[in-house]
Amino acid sequence: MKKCFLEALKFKGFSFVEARTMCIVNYGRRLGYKNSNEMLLHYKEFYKINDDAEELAQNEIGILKSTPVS
Amino acid sequence: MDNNSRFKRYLKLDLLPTPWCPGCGNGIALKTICQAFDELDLPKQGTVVVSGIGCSGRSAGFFDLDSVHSVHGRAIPVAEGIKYAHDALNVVVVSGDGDLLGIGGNHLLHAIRRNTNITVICYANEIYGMTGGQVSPTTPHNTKTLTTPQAIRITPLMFSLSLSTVIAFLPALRRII
Repeated sequence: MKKCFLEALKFKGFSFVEARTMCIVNYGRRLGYKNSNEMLLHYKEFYKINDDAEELAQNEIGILKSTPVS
Repeated sequence: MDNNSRFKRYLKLDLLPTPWCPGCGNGIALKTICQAFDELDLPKQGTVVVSGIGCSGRSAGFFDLDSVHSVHGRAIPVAEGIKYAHDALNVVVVSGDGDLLGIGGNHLLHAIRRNTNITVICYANEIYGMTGGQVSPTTPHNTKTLTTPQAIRITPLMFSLSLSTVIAFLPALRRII
């Protein structure tokens, strides 16, 4: 995640980072997770890291770059 | 301060602990942002954090930097205004998915079109957490929430999915203009 933030801060132009965070009290609890660690492990299982891709699927995370505009 | 705790200089330590619920991911993200700031050694005088409304909007108050807690969904226009007024500043937007993608979706689209040099960090927790668990733009398919008791059947908006085409298209657009 830190790598993503660093890349975004360094990038010249508009950059967007989507960080998946867990909301255990209002969301995880209703889905049946007992604690936030369980939810985090589910995220770890569900999302696959795909670093050098042109397009990402629904369950992939990675960095997408456009060519910098001067 | 040693190397591991140097990121703490970007935080208002007397305000800690944060008001977020135990087990929330926002605190982790806040710490990681500070570590990234520390790694790039951003000056404290030249960095502005803008946040929207929501649980994640609270995080602007914890940075020991100039910060704006703006109105709901309009964090990006405020940040863009700051950037246009003073180009030397590093402007970072920290906000949630309901704020940036839901209510401020239009502003996000046009910020991409204008290609302002700002960084937007979105805490996507897949729900409107602060108001009690309503369905948000990033809620995954087939999930039961407070406002969708029979499970949502709409594909979630993921920035990388729906807007990557816009980013890819931007340089070409620039050439035409």
